[in-house]
Amino acid sequence: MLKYNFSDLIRYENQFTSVEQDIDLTDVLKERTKNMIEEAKHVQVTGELINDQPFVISRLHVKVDLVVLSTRSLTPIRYPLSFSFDEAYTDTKPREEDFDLYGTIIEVENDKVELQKAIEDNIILNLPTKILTEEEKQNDEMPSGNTWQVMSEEDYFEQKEKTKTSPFAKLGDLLEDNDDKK
Amino acid sequence: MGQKVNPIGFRLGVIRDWEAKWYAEKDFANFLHEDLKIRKFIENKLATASVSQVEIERAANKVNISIHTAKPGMVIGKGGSEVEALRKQINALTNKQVHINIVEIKKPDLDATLVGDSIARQLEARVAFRRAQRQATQRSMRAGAKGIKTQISGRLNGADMARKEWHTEGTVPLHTLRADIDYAWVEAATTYGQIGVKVWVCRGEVLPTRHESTNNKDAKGGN
Repeated sequence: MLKYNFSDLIRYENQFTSVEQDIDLTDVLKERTKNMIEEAKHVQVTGELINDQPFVISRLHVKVDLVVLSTRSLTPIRYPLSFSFDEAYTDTKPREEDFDLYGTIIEVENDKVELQKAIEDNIILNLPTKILTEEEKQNDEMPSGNTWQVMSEEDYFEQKEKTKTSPFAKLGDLLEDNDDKK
Repeated sequence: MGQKVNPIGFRLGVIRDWEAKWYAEKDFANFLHEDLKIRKFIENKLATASVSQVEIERAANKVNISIHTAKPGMVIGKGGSEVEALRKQINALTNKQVHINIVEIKKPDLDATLVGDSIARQLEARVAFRRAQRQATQRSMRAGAKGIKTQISGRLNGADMARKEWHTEGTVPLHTLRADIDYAWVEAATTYGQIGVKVWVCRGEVLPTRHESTNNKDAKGGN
């Protein structure tokens, strides 16, 4: 599925191959992300593969409704993701300047351009490190227990600032007293 | 090749603070080893929880541990079960009263440890290293970093010969002490062996705050 022979894609000048597919990546992404992604059904892929010798350029748009876990409370959240990505494939070693021109260049192995792998990779890469439910975004309420508490960075630094004591604080009082006596 | 100093150690006491805050006269060695044990334990126990920093404070028979993480949910578990178990285990390890603060990091893309950890986890999930490296740098720059450099070394894409590949965007002035540079080194355990990931993130400059002393106006005497 979504595998092409590089030699076929590069055979004719100005060759253009369109891509349009609906795939289910739930099992693969669950396994690859260690259950961070719970569901990835109906991954819609549209785009094209363009021959630009010695490269094949892929221009793809991916649309998917993921189910992921909130990073604060582990509650499952529906997380729609829609993104585009361009990549270049080649069977020769790319030069340094090619990276400036094409960005990501993937060297093909065994004459195979694996678009499904590229789509899986880019879904994983487009997942933000921090995912919150709508409620968590609005409330900013943090869970806590008897001997532990979750706090935001602002609260933590504020608390630290309050409890900060200067080692010379007592010395200041001493000088003040002396002034008063005078 | 030039010798390189660790950017964090270089800035310690200048623009960075220590991760352990306690003072001891007699029991220094014991406390130090206890700290190392706690850190190792948390690192192993919360390997998947994107932990960036563990701060340890001590007072009498109490230990305050602040765990800085991007995923507090992974630390506390469902209903706080995991963190309660973690606290009990650290209690048993130290024989002291332990309090745990979990600090949620606001911008994980500006934290070198978390960026490195994310690249390492992606490499373990068999994501092509070039994709992972590029995406990480782009994300950090979008989050407001002044510059980022990532270096990945090992058997990249399963190649027979190990090599290094690096990618830089923006500026990372390692010799400027006021430049707030965060650095991390993380390892990815892949089927082809260990892959090292080094990340330098420049978050801008920390300028010295001028002590607006009240004695300027009120000072008596002088000159």
